[in-house]
Amino acid sequence: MITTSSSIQKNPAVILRNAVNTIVSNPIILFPLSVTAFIQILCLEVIFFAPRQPLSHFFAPLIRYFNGEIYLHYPQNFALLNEWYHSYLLQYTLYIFVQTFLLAMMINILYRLNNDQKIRMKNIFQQTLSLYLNIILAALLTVIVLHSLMTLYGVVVKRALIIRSTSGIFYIMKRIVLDGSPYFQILLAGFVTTIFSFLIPIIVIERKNILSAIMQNFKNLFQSFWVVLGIILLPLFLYFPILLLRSNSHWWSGALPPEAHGIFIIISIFVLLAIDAIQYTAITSYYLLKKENS
Amino acid sequence: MKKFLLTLIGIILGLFVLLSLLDKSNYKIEKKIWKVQKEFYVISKDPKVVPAAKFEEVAKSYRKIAEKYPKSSLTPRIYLHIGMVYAVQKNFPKARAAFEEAIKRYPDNAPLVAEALFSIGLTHDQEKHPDQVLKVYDQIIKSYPLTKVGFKAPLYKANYLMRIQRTQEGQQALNEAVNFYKNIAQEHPKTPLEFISLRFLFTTYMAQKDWANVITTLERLLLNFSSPQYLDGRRAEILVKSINTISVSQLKDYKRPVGIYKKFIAQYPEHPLSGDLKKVISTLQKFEKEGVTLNPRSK
Repeated sequence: MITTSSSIQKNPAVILRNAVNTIVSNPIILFPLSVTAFIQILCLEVIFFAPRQPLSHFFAPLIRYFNGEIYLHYPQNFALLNEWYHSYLLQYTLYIFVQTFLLAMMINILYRLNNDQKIRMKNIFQQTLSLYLNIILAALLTVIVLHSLMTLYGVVVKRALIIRSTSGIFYIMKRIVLDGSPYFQILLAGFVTTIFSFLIPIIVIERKNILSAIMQNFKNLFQSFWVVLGIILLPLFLYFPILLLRSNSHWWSGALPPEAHGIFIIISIFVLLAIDAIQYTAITSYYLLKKENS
Repeated sequence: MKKFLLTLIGIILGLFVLLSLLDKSNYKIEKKIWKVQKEFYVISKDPKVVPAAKFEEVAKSYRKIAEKYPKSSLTPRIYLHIGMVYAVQKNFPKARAAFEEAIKRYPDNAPLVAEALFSIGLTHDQEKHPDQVLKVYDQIIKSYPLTKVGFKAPLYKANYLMRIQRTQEGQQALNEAVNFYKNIAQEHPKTPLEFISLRFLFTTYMAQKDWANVITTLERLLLNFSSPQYLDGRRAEILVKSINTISVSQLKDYKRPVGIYKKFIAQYPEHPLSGDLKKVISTLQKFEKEGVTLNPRSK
């Protein structure tokens, strides 16, 4: 059982602590996420070797066309690694078709653990696969909303860029918008995750189609918005040191070898997966508790 | 689960090792050169305070890479880097020895030899040996005219002569440069070589303040090299601005650019630039009608 208390805990910090304890005592929960990590590192590896033979036979013309000849060579290949790995095309594709499915598998494991059922990966895989279409649609919806908000934020950044003031309130606003850009973006992602946080658990646990799941998601969300927001935002702070280093690479890029960019990406993959694991374990446990108490 | 995870890790590591082994590109040598270059960059910031041993160390690091990868396509240039290290140290005899070593090792590599010769010229320039500098430039012009350095050499020679106050010889060198670029353009019509020659010819006429020929050269560039490979948006903008500015401010002639653009539109009616040129024509005609003039010195 992962839900031990009969009364619903409403303190996000306590819910998150319980989620971490659940993960520690049931490491099998991390199994699907380790597959996600594998796929992400595999993509990273392919991009890393893309400018080199034999993969360059296929990738070199693309690199020349989209980035330029220099990106085929050291150390600019690390800039390419950073750019291609973080591209919307790769990240959204992975999120929609792979990551969300594996997250759903993790939720399925949590549900079975909660019901004291035996964990058989093959069964979990097959059962989750039968929900694949709904899972993809849920991921697609999340991506569309996130991308729209990011585009909106892009408009704000463009507006800030044309502010000419070098002091005063407008200058402060410009600096907040521009310097805080990576942090606002992660907070936006956190907000979008919050508003759809019950979607995948409902699809997996209740086996509902996407439309019913959306309705039930919002019903649950309205009852406990601040708790869910806390559950989603608090673990995101784990990512802030990486964000700080990434957005200020000019501080350290001269002192560290170019390979450091690659290492940072690998670290960020694991940190983000840890965040996902904690967030979704907490949300699923919270949802199951609410369900048991309703 | 453990077995499965170990398999995943094995795949990642195995693929890494496999792709590293299959890699026959210059990646490893690029990495090593970059590291030494970084050191070189540090010592070249303030060479006066750097001990001689440090320069030797950097040169030695370059040599070590060259010896380890003798067949790499990047190795020939390493000898030029060694020469540059000594040139920055102002140890010119050693720098020249390194450049000469590059020539000796790769005599058939025309771009490299031309660059090595040019670098030798620079060391003589620093030591104020004008005859040696001119000798090197002449050698490059004669033996390696179609290399990157060879193309620039006639102009460099003229500029050098002007810089050392041998103005008459400098003017003569400019005339020779004009002939040099004209000949190459004539010998290689409708090729990238003609294109490059015309660009250098334009620069040479600019140096001579021969405005009529500047415009003729720009006209040839516009009319003969209109494909996107040569005439991208940025180049087109610079070309049109140059034609307008020089025609109006130096030649006081509005009809010349209008004539050029009309020819272009007639020749390439579907070209993306033709629409913009129609607007430029009407603006120029309006300026001419209103008697607008440009002072050559005004911005």
